Amino acid sequence: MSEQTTSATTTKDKKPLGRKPVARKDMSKVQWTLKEMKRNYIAYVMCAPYFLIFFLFTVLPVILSIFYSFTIFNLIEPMKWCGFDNYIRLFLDDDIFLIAVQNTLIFAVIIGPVSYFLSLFVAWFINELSPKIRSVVTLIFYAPSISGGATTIWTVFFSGDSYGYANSLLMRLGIIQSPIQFFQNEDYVMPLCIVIALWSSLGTSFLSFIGGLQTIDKAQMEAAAVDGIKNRWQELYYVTLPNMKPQLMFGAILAITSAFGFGSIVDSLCGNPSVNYCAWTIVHHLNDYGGSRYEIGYASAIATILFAMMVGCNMLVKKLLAKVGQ
Amino acid sequence: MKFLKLKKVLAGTLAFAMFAGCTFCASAATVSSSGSSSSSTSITDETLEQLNDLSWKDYYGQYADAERYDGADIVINATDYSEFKYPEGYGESDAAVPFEIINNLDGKTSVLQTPDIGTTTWTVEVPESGLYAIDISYYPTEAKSANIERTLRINGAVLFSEVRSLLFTKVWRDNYLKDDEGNIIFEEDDAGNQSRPSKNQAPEWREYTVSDPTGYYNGEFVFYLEKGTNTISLEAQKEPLTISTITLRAPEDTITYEEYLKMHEDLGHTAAPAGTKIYFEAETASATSDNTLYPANNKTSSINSPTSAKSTLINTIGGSNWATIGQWIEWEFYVKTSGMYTINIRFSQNTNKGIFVSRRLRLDDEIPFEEANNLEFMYNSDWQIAPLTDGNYEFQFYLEGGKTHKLSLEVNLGHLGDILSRVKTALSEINSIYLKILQITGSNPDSYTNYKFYSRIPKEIERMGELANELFAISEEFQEISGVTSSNTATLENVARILENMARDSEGQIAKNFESLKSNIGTLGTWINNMQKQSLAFDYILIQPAGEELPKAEANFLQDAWYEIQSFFYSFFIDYNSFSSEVDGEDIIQIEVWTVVSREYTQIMRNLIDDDFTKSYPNISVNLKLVASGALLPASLAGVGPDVMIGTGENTVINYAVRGALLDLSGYEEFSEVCSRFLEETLVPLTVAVGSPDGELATYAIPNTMSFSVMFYRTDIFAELGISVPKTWDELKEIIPRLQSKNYTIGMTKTLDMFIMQNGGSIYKEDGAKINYDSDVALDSFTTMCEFFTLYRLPISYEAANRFRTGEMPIIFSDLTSFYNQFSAFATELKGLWSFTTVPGTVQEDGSINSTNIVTVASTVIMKDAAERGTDAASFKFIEWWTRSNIQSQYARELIAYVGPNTKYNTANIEAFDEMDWSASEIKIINECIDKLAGVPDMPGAYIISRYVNFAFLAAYNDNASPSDELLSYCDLINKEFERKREELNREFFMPTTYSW
Repeated sequence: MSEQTTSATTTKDKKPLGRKPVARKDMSKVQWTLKEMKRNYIAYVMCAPYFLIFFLFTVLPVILSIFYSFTIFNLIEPMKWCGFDNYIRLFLDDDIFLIAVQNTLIFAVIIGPVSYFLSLFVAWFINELSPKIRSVVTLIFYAPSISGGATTIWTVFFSGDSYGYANSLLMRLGIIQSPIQFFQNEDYVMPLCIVIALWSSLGTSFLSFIGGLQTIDKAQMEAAAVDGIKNRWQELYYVTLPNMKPQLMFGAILAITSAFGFGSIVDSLCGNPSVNYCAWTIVHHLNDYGGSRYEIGYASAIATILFAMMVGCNMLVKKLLAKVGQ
Repeated sequence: MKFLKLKKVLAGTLAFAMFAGCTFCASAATVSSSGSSSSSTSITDETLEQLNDLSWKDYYGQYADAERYDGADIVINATDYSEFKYPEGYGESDAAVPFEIINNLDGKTSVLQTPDIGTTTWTVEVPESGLYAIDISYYPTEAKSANIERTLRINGAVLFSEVRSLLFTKVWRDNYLKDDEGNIIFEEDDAGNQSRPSKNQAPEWREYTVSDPTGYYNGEFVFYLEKGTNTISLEAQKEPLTISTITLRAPEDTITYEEYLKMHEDLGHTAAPAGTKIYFEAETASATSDNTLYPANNKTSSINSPTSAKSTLINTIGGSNWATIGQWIEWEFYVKTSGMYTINIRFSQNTNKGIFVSRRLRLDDEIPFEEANNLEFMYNSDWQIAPLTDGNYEFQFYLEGGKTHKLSLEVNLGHLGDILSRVKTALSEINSIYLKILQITGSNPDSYTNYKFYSRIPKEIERMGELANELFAISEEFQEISGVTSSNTATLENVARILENMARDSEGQIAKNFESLKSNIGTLGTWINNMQKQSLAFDYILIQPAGEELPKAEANFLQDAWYEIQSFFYSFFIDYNSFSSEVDGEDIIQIEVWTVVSREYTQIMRNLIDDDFTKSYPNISVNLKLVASGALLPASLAGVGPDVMIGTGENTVINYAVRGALLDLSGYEEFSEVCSRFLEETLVPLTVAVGSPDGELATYAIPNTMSFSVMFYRTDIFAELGISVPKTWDELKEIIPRLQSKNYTIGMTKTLDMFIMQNGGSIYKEDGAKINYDSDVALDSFTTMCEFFTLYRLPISYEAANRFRTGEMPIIFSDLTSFYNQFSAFATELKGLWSFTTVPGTVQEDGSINSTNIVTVASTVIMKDAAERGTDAASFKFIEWWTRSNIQSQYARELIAYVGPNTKYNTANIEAFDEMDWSASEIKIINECIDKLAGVPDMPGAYIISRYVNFAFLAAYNDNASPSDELLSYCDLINKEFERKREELNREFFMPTTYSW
């Protein structure tokens, strides 16, 4: 994949050189690419270290995972080929997978966009503050996401013990008689997880938005004002956002992957598995089969589906972002 | 005195309550067997007696003006005992050693050996009424590693609480290597790392003066005896004890330091000649009281003596191991010239911030003067060097020349003793007031409810005010002693302030501050525990005349910097994580052993392997590695897995085995012998029948540790409420309302399999192919279990140790060793007020009680790769060695050094489990528990069971669904998973019809 993009850009950047020109139509595509590669070999050498690592640890696992999804493999014994069995079972004979897909979509639809826009607007507001206050406020908003296990403080707050803060408060007010098992009760698990996930979601994308906002040339704002921008919303949509498209893209990809890869917060709050699979996501399903049931083939099939969902979502977001400011 | 009266009234009420309780029990006991109520009343009696104990201070207050005996010593020969009897239900077979007269023991003739249980009584004619001190000449008979504990009764009564567990220390000596000149040296390996020598019990005759085992009070105890016949009895609590004589003598007055100086001045003893220096390393101690006081490596300073940035040198002794009251270390040194000397010690006291730790000094077995009881070692983050001091004087001692002297330092509380004992008394009072309030308000008082405290607990409210003042006074004294205000006093004052508020405005403040009182009680208890830890490390001892210059205590900046730079560079070359001692050579088989325990535990294993395994099997070299628990699967996949893995869970064993990753161990030589070391039930989860239920048996692992839960209960609360320990679930259900009416609750267990087995059901059917939870027995059992939570509303989540400590949960079901270890270290103030017993049982149709309990194991496995490498036989030899009783016992003993004096290790080796220093009564209960353990077979896919049982339980709890419907609905899912595993895997595992090992 990366090979193609490299060659594509080099083709685009072609500059006239002091050699006899070779016409593109004179040779086949492969020949042309090879020729271009030879000419720009320094660029290839320079990107080789990254490419190697990227290929070994990102591309290869994806390919392997797709390969394993057509097998039965338990990590210990040799694998067996099984065709599309895993996929058939996944879609037709696995009720829990359907719960997982449903939950993942709920989480993705709520947490992805909400946290994305939350990041954007909080960044936009904070950007208006004076630099010193801005850095303090940035830290306050960013802190929950850097301190990895910060979500566990909510387990103390919503503890099922009658001495847990929430239970103690409710019992003192006479609302409940015996403690509620907040993280062990289907009625509470999903809403709590969503709220807490949002609380801790102002992460890297939020920082990159703040960075993006600060790179915008003030002159553009003035020019826009002269050109007839009426209010801050118009300024945001026509000037600010188009200027930070790279950051928006970056943030969107992060938001999508984290929304689809959502699961660790549920684990740390409700344990694994959550009661009656009520907050079970695709990642949980994947880990369950890959980790505790030793069914790597089946887990790979789940991973492949998840991968496809993410790629599809990415393409959709790319299209949406292209429209910003138009 | 007013308070004393109150106590008596309290005692009377308690006694009445107990009487009422007993009659209640008697009527309830018609269901259960009659033997049970009698044994539980004896617990009640003892606890009540203990609850009403006087303290030494109160006792001495009564007799302060009494005549002191000043006649000749009255010597009782131990062999002239008048009576010996075992406690009810125990006999000679329960004792570690027999009760007998030994004719000749280490130089003394005709002495009495008393076992670790039973009471020995002596009768003595006292010539006149008065106060007597008691000396006992004893010999610490070699047994387990624990200290000896005895209860002293005079005329059948425990006169005050401190004599309830008198502490007789043992004597341990290191087996030092010596060079040609007789100097002590330490064994070194090729890299120059030193290892500490082994330690042995070295019993010898010692003199013991009855004094305070808790360290609060310095000096000997005195007892008031009436003229005429009196009896003295020693009731065994722990460990056997051999006695030659018991002496009643006149109380001694120790001289003060001023008098000591004056005495030597009068005798013409002057300072030793200038320049005389006696220097020795503290790590060359001649004897210690515990096996955990051993020479150790310390790298916290660059000028520790000796020091090396590269290798591990033995250079200190003590530290956190030397922190418990009563532990002593003894050194011997030779003095050439007579004279007055100062004793200077390079020490590190960096644990008790803002305060000192104390030691009691003995020179040649004598405390030379009163102040020697109160040596102080001040806090500093760095190492220090200073003459011995009590905070006022820098002591000089007269040492006679041409003689070897003995210097011993014993952990005590010194000047802090009085303060701590007062805080402790206050704490236990506050605790009982807390329980009183809890009984009125429940655990979540509503600050707007009118509880009418002033009419319900007027005395307690008054007492709270007094306690607040007492705590403020203590805090002030504490500041005076330590000289600084610190967080130490803040803890005291917080509690005092809460009590003050509660006493001032009972209706407004008690309910409001109830929870913060609870958390502060916990903090205060922890504070006492921390203050009592008297951790202190020594580097060397330098004896020289007063006024001479001392070496520097700490390195300068350049020395430190150079040391750190060296250490940094060596860290690239020295592998601190591998615990291998590789031996190269022909015919040497290398095996790789992985473990998942902590670094310290691994180091202990390494030492054991070096010391013992290499001697038994010189041609097997063990490479021991500490790994993260998830490392096994990826490593086996990559073909770089270990030969032996220690600490594998039941589920993992079967999961790996069914996929062919483990070796079947039943074929190896010595297999049945190894198996005989364990409870058969612990092998059940590790054994399956291959191919068919009657097929060949395969055992894929050898147990390493075993866990089972027991019922912990608070004896004081049981005594107060007059209830007996429940033997069946029905009895438990009967007492729940009684507990709940007093706002107590229970920490209940959720082990479904236990209920099923007690009802005679089974976990699997069709030879392990299907779950049997859809049987009537299982469904009924599940309903019974759920009812405890749904009907009786017992809490699901709680912090066990805290709730047990405050008494809110007088009954808690928990894992035996982990809770025992945690609680005995955590709540020292409750010593003797809690106990444990088997889980309650289910009454069978024939009237008998089935109290089967579930045991789970972590085990040791051999990986398939070992067979390919040809190291499997050697690996099994390693397992055989590791599971030996003596090795497991030694491992358990060594752990005590790291974890704490009461630590128990849950080894699966039955003999080693019993060998640990449990008291005799604990051992009896444990053996009862062990008899009733049952292992649950593990089948492929079994990991899914607990998940779905939990789902079913939560549905019943949260939504009031019918437990049996819920469980039934999940049975299909469980069976589906089972089926799937059977389809997927080539090997067919079944539950064997009969087991044999």
